[in-house]
Amino acid sequence: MSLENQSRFWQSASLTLSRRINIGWWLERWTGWLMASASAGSVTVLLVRWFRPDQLRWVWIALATLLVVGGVAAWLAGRKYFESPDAARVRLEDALGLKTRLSAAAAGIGQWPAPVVGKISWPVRWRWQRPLAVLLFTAAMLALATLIPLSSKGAFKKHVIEKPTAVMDVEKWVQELRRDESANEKSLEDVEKKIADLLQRPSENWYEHGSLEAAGNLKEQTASELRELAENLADAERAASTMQAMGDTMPQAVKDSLSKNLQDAAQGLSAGGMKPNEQLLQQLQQMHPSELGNLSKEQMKQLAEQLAKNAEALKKSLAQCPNFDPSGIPGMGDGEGQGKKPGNGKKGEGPGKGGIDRGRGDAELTLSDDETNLDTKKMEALKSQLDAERAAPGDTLTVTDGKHEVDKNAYQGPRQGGGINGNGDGGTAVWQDSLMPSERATLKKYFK
Amino acid sequence: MANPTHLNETDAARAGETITSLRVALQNVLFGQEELIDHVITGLLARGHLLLEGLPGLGKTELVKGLSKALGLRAKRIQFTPDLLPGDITGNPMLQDVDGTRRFVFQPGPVFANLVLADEINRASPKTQSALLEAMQERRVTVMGESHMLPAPFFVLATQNPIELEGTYPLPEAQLDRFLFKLDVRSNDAATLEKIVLHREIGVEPEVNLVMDAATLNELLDLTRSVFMPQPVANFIARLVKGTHPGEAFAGGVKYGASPRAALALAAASKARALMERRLNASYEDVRAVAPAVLRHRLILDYGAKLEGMTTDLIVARLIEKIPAQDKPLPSSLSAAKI
Repeated sequence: MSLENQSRFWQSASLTLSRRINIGWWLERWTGWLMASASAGSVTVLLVRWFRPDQLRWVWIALATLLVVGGVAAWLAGRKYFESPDAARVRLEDALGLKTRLSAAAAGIGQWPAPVVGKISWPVRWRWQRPLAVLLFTAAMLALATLIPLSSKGAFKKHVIEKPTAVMDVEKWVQELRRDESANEKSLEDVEKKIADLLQRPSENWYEHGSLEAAGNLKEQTASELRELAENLADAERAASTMQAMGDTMPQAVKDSLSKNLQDAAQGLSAGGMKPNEQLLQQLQQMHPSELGNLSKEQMKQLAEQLAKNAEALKKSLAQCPNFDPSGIPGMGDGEGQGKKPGNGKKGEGPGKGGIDRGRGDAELTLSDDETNLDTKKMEALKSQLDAERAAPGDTLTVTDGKHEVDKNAYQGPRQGGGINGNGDGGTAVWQDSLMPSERATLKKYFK
Repeated sequence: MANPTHLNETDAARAGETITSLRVALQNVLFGQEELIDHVITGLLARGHLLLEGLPGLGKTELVKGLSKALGLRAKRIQFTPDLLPGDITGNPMLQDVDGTRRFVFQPGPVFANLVLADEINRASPKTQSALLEAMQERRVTVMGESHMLPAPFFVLATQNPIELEGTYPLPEAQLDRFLFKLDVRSNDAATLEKIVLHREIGVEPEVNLVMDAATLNELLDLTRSVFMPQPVANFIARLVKGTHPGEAFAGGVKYGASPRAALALAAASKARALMERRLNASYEDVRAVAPAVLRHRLILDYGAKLEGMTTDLIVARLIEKIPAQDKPLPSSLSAAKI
């Protein structure tokens, strides 16, 4: 091999060694950065998964950028430790036992040594344990942060603030009624105000017993008002249609009766909790109740049509209302039958009794002089049973007259107290009556 | 032989051959002491004075005599005793009749030789010791205000006995520092003793061939100076000497470290060893090889270290082991490999 090739061989070997050492220094700085970045990245991944899971990709991009920037920063920070090829040559010639011939040859003294045949035994050896451990640890941290089961805060919040079913039903009813214009806007706004009042409480309290009961009552009340509206509309429409159909031919008595029905229905529509739509309400309000029976045929026809239209719209809306019980409304749901005789059931006087196969059977709220006997072994005082301030809307309250029943013979005059049969020694009763035979034997043996 | 500014391979090879001849000649005088002989030659090439310490009868005097014969040098032996005076070494002015007038004429002492064997140097008084040591350092003698140059080359090989310390005057540290090497002359093994018995007789000096004359030796000394000292090796020497100072990482137990003269001695001895191996440059290996002989008498241990049985040789061995040729640290992901 020529001298030039020998020189090139050893200079290349020195350069390779210096690069290896410099990579080691860079790796040492970068693994520190990697550890810090991965720790911060893991926390960020967890937080983003918690708050904004849809933005997770930006975390990965930021993390990758951070690692690249860290690589550059590690290079800059490690530069002061980097070894030049000249410094690496010292390691090489010392380790290979070249008697400093490389440094001398580099200074122009003597010849370069013959190149090593085969593979060079480098004076440094990689120790992968630490960088590998850091790499695995950071990968594990990031994997853990990514894969650990975690619900997003949004989902949790959504789940928590879901409104009670009764409230949602009423809201949908209002929505249906407003869409079909089958009810007065003011009435709907009143219902919405009630809903808003209910939801004004902290969301975590919406599912308390009182709140649920209040929501149920609102639903029942709204349903009742809607049924009443539907019934009044049906009655008024029926009376108006009959009057308009029969015209002047109907007897005065029938006319009076129908007029009375129409007046009652119109009054119910005007004064009910849920009023008909604006147009009909305005029409009814413009007419004096006493004039309803004396409307012209044309006016009656117009009224009947208006009533029919509103009734139809209401039926349509109610049909779309979820969880709405249409029983009792003419033309909707099951018809209401009438028995021939009244039922034989006897109205209960006391509160319901709980049982293993039925509900708790809440007692009516009573304000009586007597305490309520729930037929349990424990007497239940009224005060502990009822807190009138916490009563939900719709809770019934019964007030019963009564007075205390005092057993005047209960007190039988002064009596002598019981006597003492035996004084007993201290502990006798305990060790004679309470200890096991073996324990008594042990005690006897001890004190013997 | 020429005296080039930079040593070339031809001169190095020729010098190596001559040195090998000298080595062989001395090995025929002193059996089983190859390492000692190498150190003695190294010391000579580095223009240093040597202090040999060993028990009586190990061949110290024979070595010096053989060396003088092989080199064709004028050798003198001075037996140091407590009553020896400085003038007994350096020489005295004698009142003589010269051209009809009486005047003092300097009569050179035994120090005026190329090779001086100062036997049991620690038995002379400090005043006498210092007279010799001044001659060693200055390579001249001044008597009555007149300086007399010593012949070149000039080497002192002093011996001292590690036993029978009563009535001795140990050399002060400052004077010890002037010796390039302190060499321990060790006892021979059985095989060597057998060889000595077979080839030597009491009262009969071994024959030694002349290997070179004084002029050749002086040329060798010049060639030794021209051996290249690479900067990394100089750096290594500097760190090694600095490492002997108290407070350094591996200098535990050292009270006083080596002086800059020790660094110069290491460099000179390393060059000499490189020339002995026919190399053009000194190396880390040369430094490590000569470091014990150069440093062992230059370190002063504290009492704690002495009580613990620590020796300067152990300290130097530790320094050689711990101080690398390249002092730059390695990253934790790399380790130095043993090759």
